[in-house]
Amino acid sequence: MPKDTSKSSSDLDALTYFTDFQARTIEAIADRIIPADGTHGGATEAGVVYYIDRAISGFSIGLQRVYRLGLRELEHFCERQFRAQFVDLNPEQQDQVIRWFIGDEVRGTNKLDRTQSPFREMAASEGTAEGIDFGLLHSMFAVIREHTVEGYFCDPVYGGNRGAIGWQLVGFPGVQWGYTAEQMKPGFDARQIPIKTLADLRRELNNLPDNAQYWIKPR
Amino acid sequence: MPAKKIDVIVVGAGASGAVVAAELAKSGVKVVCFDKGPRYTEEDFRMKYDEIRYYARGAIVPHMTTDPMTWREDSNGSAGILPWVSGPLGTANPLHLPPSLGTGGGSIHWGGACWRFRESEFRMKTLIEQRLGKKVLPKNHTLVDWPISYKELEPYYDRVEWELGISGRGSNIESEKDKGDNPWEAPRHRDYPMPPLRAGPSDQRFADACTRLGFHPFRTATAIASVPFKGRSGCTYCGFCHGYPCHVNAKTSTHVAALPGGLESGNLEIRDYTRVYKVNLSNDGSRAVGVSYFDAQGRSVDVEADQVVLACYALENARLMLASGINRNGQVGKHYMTHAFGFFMGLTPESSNPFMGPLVASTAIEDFSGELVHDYDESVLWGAPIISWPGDFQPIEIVHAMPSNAPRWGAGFRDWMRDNYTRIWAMYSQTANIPTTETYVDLDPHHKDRYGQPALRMTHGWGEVDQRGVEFLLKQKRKIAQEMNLTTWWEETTSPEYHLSTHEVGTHRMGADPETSVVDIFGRSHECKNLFVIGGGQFPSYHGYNPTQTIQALAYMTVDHMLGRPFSRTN
Repeated sequence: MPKDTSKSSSDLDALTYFTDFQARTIEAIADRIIPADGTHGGATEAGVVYYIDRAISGFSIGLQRVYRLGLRELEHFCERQFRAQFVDLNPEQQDQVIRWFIGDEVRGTNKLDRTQSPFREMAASEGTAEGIDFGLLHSMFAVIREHTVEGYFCDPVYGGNRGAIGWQLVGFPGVQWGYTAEQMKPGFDARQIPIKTLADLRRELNNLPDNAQYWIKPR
Repeated sequence: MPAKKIDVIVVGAGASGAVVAAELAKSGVKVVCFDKGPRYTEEDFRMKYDEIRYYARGAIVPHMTTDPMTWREDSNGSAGILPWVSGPLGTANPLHLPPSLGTGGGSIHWGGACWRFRESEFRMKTLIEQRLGKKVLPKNHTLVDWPISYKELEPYYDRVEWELGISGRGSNIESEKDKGDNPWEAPRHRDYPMPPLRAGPSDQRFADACTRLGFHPFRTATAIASVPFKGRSGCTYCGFCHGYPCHVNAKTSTHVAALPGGLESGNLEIRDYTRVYKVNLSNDGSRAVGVSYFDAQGRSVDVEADQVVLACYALENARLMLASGINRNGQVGKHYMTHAFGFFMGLTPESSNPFMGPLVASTAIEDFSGELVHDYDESVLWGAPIISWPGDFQPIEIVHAMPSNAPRWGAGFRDWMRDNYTRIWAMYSQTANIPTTETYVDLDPHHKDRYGQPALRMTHGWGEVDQRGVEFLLKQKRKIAQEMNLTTWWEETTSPEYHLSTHEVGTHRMGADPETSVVDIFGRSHECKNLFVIGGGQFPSYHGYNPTQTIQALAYMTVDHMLGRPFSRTN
């Protein structure tokens, strides 16, 4: 069941660490990692960049350096390779960059076309070539991939998964106090269960369900 | 003002420590219990449904920055901080770190799988040698039989089930002629106090496939209340269970199942956020006089007591003994054993709703357990049950468990999660390594924690005989997967990258001989007569079962011994 997205306030679109340009670059990368599918929004609609922004200004402050230096390096790389900024590349070019630094979508399928890169000898390595720190870029893209997954599937309180669209995509009902015997029958269509979040649960704390509706009937 | 006299110090408020502390206090003994983590209340866990907090960021487990630990594959290697802990974000899968901290300890985040060891497990070494010959064990093995039998431990298994609350269905109850679903269950005096949990949505598919293959499926026992038990709620099947605290106290975590009784007595004091770093000894080293700890502000404090109990996990127990210089016979930290899980995951043809219910709303088969496996393959030294894992999967955890041939990013990644998340199915087994002279823990000569205390160093590799057991069970899982009509499946390797499964044992072995073991069957140190060191570290050999029910049975034995109670069934 779709979650009401109208409550997402524009107040939450502010940034706590990134510059506007850095945020737009991360958003563009995250959106290639999890793109929209026509029905469900992708990383951009889920607000993944806001999850990442809050994560690195709080819990993961140790990763600020990776993002700051890595994004700077990415611009050097894109300037040398495409004479353009990452955000202005077309989706195919963006995917090509991601392939260079994360690897093929499916490991070992060799979609990676290193002949397209002026740095082909070094593109897959951890070293530095022609003034570009490939090791740093590999690290940053690995972090962004992991952060994108977290930001897409986290509880919306963390800034990502807005309107629970990540949970809608995969059919996860989120925060449920319990599941009944009926709901646990094989083949039950769990998309009938309204998705709930931690905020929904907090609103219900004074009126919690009766646990007896969930546990088994005593013999 | 003179400090109040302490009878017993208990270090660690987890699966065994909380049981010992509470039972002693209820009998009038003045106990102070220390834990590195917080003292939790029910309120803390009301809104525990948070995969970022508990899974991605490991909110309740120790981290390498505060509790560093190193690993190497063998004695010739150099050890570094546990490599399987270092994901891209520097955070780890809580499944492969030491157990959670705070009151309840590992019993907060555990899945709640409960097993009694079968009778033959207590004679594993003898049976392997009798059945397969003396040459099959690795040359440098250090395996020994248990110094107690199943029969002696049975009353204590029973006490865990009825005192703390375990759900299940006994198959081999002494007074009943009709036997249940598990033909190989060891005899039990009575049934479990609660019936098994409702099975996960696709669990019947596993049970039916096992039956068709001629195996003998039965419902697994669980440390989760299936119906209300001693004021705690029955399970609601919320699906945030393994790795998460329970929001309704249905899970048998000792902060709700054991500690409250101790606290009510007025004889138990809990000091949380305290890190005990040393056991202090008498001049001749024959007695413990107390412990030193860092309090929440980092100040060092000394306390004295008549007796000291270390109950802070097989790893930290060994580290504390070594750091305190208690290791006269050189046995502390040896004989390290842990589990390889042989994780096996696949997709059901129809929706399996894998986010519902605990992982232990499961079914198991014992057809290949222990020595039974010899009937199928004599190259496997010791077998283990195959157990279903029907639920308790959140989306990020599944992203981390995707098969290696699935897309990792892009439209294909999105589609894989969209199309497959609700069809996830899993099963696993737990095979232990044979202990050898190359599986042990000691103090790392180079790494220290932020208080200057030496880190623990693990030396452990998966031996050839260990991997054979994993492979045999993977073969059986493939048969079951086919019979279940799984549309695809993928497997963990026989030599997984982790060497810590939150099921570590063996590091302060119990035995009768003070030269070859660290503690006696009651956990009493051979070296310091008023020091008890308890938990999975006592295990002389290890098997295909989760360790906790046996750890708690041994803890009740320790309590009876400390109180001078007769060695007997619960009253």
